[in-house]
Amino acid sequence: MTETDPRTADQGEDTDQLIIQRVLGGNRDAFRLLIGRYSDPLYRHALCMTGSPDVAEDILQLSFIKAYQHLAEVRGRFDAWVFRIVANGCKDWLKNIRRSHLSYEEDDQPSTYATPEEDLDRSELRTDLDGALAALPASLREAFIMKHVEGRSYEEMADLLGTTVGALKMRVHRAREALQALLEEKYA
Amino acid sequence: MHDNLNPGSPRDGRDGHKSGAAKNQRDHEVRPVVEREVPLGQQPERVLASTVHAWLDGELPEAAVRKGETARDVEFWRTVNDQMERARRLRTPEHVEAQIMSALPHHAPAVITPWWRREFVITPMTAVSVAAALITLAVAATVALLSP
Repeated sequence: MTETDPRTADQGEDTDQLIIQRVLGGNRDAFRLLIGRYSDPLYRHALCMTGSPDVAEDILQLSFIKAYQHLAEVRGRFDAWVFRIVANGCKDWLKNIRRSHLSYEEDDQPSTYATPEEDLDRSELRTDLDGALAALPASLREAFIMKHVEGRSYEEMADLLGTTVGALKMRVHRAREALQALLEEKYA
Repeated sequence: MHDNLNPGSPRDGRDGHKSGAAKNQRDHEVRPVVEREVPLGQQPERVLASTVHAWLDGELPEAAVRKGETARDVEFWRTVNDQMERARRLRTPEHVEAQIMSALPHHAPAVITPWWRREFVITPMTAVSVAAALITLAVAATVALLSP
C-alpha cells in the first residue's frame, strides 16, 4: 500500500498531522480524508445552529475551503481548529441574517431534515423543539447543542469556545430552563 | 381573525384556502430562525433543580432524580433526549464532500515559513555592510570600555 492511499487513513492509521503534511506537500486529494473524518459532527452543529440544511451545507463548504487555504497555520488539533471556523461561520450567518431582515419565501423555509421522507416522519415534538431551540439566543443554543446533541464535555466545550467551564454550565442550564419553560406546558 | 405578522411578505394572499390554524402553524415555521429569537426575560420563569442538571450532565444516576417533584422533569427530559437522538444520527449529505473538493483551489495551500527558517542569500554588498557594521560596533565598544 502506498503512503498516499486514502484507505490507510480511513482505518485510522494516519494522524491528522500526517494528512496535513501530505496536503501541504501537494497531495490535494488527501484533504478528502479530513473532510470524511470531521464533516458529520460539523454538519450537525451547523444544521442545529441555523435550522437550514442548505445553509449548513454552505457553511460547511466555506469552512473547509478556508481550512484548506490556511492549513499551514494549524497549531494543535485540526478538529478543534476547523470546529472554530464552522462555529464562527454559524454565528456570522446568524448576525448577518438578522441585519439583512431576510424574508423567506415558501420554498426556502428552514427544515432540519434533508429528505421528504424525513420531513413526513417529523414529529410534532421535534418541530416544537426546533422552534424552541431557534428562540434561544445564539450563545445558549450553541452551548445546548454542543452538550446535548454533540455530547461534548464541559472541558472540551471550554477548550473549543475559549471560555470557562463555569460560564458554559451556566449557558447550558439557562438553555435547559428556557426550553422547558417553552415546551413543558404542552409536553410535561 | 388571523393577524398577519409579516404584511410585506411575498406569501400574502396565497393562503386563502388554508385554515387559520394551519396558516398560523406554517407562518411560525417559515419565519427565519433569528426572527424567532426572543429575550429569555420574556419567557415564564422556570428553574430546574440542581439535581436535574446534575443528572443531565451525567453526574447523578436517574434513580436519584426520578422521585418527588423532579420526576416530572425527568420524564420531560427523557422525551426531549429521545428527539435529540435523531439529530445525533444526522449525517452530511453525500454530495457535499464532492462539492467541497471541487471548490478547493487547485494549488497546494501556501506554506508559511518562520523568518528564522527562511533561506537567505548573502550578496557581496550585504557581506561588506555586515562586516562594516560589526567593526563599527567593536570599535565603539572598545572606546566605551577604555574611556575613563
